[in-house]
Amino acid sequence: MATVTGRRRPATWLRRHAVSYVMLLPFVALFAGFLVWPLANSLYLSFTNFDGVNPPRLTGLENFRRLFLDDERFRHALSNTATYVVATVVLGTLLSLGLALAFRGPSWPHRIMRTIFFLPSVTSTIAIMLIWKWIFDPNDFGLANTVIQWFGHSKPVAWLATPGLSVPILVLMAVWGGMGYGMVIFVAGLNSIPEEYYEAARIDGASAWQQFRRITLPLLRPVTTYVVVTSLIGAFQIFEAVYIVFRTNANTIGGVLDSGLMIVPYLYDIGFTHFQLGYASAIAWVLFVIIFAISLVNLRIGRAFKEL
Amino acid sequence: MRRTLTAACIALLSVLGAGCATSGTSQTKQAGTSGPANITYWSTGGDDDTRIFQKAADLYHQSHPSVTIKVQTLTWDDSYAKLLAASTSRTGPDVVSGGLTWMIQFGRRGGMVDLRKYGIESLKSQAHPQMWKSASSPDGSVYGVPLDMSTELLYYRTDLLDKAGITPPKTWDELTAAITKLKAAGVKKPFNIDWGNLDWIGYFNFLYQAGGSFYTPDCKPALNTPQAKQALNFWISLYRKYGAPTANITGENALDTGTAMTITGNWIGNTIQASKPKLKGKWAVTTLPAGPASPAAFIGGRSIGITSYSKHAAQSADFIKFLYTDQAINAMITVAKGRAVPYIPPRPDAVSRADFPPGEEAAVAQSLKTGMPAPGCPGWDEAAPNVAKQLQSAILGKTDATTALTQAAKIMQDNAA
Amino acid sequence: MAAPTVISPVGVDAVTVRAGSRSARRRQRGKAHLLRLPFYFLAFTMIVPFYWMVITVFKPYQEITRQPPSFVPAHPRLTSFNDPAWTPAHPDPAHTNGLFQRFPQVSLGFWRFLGNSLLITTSITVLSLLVCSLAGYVIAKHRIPGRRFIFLVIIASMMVPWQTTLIPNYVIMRNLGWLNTYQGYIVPALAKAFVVFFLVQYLHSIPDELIQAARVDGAGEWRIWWKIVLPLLRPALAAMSIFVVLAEWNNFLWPLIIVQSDSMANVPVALARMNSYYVGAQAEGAIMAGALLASLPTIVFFLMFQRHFTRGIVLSGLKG
Repeated sequence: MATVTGRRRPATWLRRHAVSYVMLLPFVALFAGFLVWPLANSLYLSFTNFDGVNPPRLTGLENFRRLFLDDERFRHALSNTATYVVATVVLGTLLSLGLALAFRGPSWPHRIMRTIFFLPSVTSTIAIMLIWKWIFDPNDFGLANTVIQWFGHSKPVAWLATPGLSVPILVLMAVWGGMGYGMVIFVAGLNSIPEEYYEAARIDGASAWQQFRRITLPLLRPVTTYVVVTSLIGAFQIFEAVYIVFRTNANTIGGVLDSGLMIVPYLYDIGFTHFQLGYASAIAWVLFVIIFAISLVNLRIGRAFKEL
Repeated sequence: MRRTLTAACIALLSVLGAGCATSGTSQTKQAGTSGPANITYWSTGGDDDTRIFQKAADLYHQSHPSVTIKVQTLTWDDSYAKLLAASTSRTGPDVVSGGLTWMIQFGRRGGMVDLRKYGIESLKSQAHPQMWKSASSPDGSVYGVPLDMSTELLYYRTDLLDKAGITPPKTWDELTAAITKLKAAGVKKPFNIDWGNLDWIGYFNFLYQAGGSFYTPDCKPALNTPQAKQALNFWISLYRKYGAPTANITGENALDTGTAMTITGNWIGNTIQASKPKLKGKWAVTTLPAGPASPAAFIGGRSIGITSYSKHAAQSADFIKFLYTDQAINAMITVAKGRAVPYIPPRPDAVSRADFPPGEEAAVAQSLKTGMPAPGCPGWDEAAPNVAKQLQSAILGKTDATTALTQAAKIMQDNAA
Repeated sequence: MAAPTVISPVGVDAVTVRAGSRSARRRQRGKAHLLRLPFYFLAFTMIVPFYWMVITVFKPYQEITRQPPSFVPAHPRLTSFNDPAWTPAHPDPAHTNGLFQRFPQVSLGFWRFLGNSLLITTSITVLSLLVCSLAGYVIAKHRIPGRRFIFLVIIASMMVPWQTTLIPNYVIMRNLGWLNTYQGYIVPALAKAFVVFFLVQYLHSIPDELIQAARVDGAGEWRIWWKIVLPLLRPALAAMSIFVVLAEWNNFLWPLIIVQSDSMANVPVALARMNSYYVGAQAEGAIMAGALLASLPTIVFFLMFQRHFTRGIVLSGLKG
């Protein structure tokens, strides 16, 4: 360092910069120790047969071969996650936008509605999942079963033990819990659209729908993209809902027939109930690649957003 | 201030460096065999189980004042993962208890002490012979010994059976006939499986009743047999033809909400007695209907073992032996009595001392006599959840019985390695 | 008429003034209310799960499994928290143990988990904001070689799902002997890339002159950070602390993996433990009581600082 800047007063320079580096050090050390290094290590482990006891031994691409060619549970987890993510993001975004359009104003009723919809975002996830599990209790006195009885369905439904219902229930819980967050962002986006645009359109005789199509939607595009990307990333990382609600038997994860199995729960299962840490790292890297790709899209759009 | 901060950062970096290094396995130093010890015991189950075992631990402390044992709870849901993590990381408790065959799986990873080193064979003659066999590894190592017992029974509503004019079924045929008659008599929910619903434990009963088994005596997968297929097809028919619900409805709630018969664990009797006063005089219990080959039922129960890194293995082994004494068993039964939980000691000769609701003791004794515990084969506990998923796919009509069993056998084979 | 074009402080208190004649407005409003009808129904469904939780808490043991269920507790009781008829020494089978009577092997029972959560959440929030504000200050205001590179790495790391580092971090904790310790909870959670990124963005909007003036006056960098930068950052720190508090209070997967003994669990892990597969519906009273206690602090926190919440979301969202 000193040689590079030797031309200027080395002592002062060094003193000044030493302080800067020391101030950076705590963050950089923690960041390197618990993020950068583990990330690299996890890549390394994904090519090994590490079992937590014996030192890891390199096995080449074996883990990835097994993952994509042999592992039916992983394929199941991937396809479940894909269905879940698409349904959650589409439904969640549409409802968030709808809510934002409906309750964007400054009046008290609107504020109260926004507060109600935002409530799940500030409630403990585990608490919410426990409530859902209790609502979908298979007994007659479960809330969901009571409600269908009102509508003349006398036989209680095995909500959490019917494979066809697992992903829909997970989507329902995610949309219910996530709408409010998207709504708040959409409200901000909507309220930043200058009112003059609408006035001009009204003078030209544009209908409400035309205003929405021609003004609101195009101007809202960056906000929409942001909402879509963040909910995509969040949806891929689903864990608690599966772990709590779809725990049908002791010692297993993913529900009946793995119908609720997703990527992160599977990673947990392989890593911590089977202790195949090498193989679990390979799963972790698949997740990494998916989310990194989505984020890169976001980055490009984010740039466009700043120019807004 | 700057200097201290720099020092702190350097300390932090060196700590991180230490963490990054791959750890070698170190030999555990044993403390004195009879000296003072603070023993941590992780018990799988509920708070009430913990209270029961803590009582025995306190008694042991009275006669061995230098040894203190603290019992902690692990729930069934994540206990296997926690114990596996502890045995591979060589940190955690001295004594652990969990599923009967778990210690075999932790033991083969080097996480458990072979209790033969501490003369544990003295307990063998007192334990249920099949339980002892399942808790021991096929190579003869004894990483765990039975801690308690439980079994599957048929609980039923006497009023509903009377209404249909039937007596509790004694065979498979009588079971299906009873369900049909109950339905005809207007009982909407004739039958339910609680413990082992859609799980391998549920299948276990029928498999052994048909004369099959999960493994051969030398631990080769044994599901490709006509008996296994017959059992699975019968089990499937109970769901698909006879309408057993696929949801997990606990036995006491099932009976309370109008289910006529339920197959479940023997602890339900105490629960009904405690929490369902409305069912008083309306329920009874018997052994499971017998299959074509035998009247077998699943025997559950836990095993207890010592981790290989424990510094107090000798004292812990002595405590385990103490759990088999009359003194300990009587004390634990007394604690269990006041609660809605049964504790059945691992000694068949002491079963009758446990607390049972009226009429249950005979059924439990009979069931324990003819029953079988989980297979004590390496890899079984890792394979079991995925075996269960194969069985589920047959029940839910995604595949046929033969394919499901072939797949299940393959999973068992893969996990045995 | 100029409509507000600021993005930041809107959210809940947005003001938009619409022009138009009165009758037209009224007509529009009537139609709009009709269109909103499905959303009012949706709002009702938002409340239902919360209501179901609360009434379950106040039902006595026997009422919870009553068929059909009651929608207003017939005999409201606090037994889900603590049932005086049930004591460890004299358990009454007709009652069950309330939330604070569970976890007998943990001294203080459920209070201990609330305490753990509080301790962990506050330590992580305070320490991570200190560490990250230091880094953010250096990156934004010090022209040192390598700062662009570091900032780039920080931005890139925001695209990494943290679960990818789960297994190596678990191994690190194990090798350090930090499993089941408070430092195992706290230390790995301190380097929050997102916070640094946000603070750097925020600091860019603060003129350098303030800091330069302090330097001319002879203040050291630590002093500048403490006396000038931190106070300037207050709104940004408030927004970030909300995020950190929420995330850490609700953190589940990491604690699930590193917690070994009962007493070190945080509230979510303790709740998950009560929800065992073998537990019947009778335990729902205590479980829902736990869920209520886990949710109340953050909900109250939200209702008190509602404006900061939405502003924080909007700021971080729209600037990201």
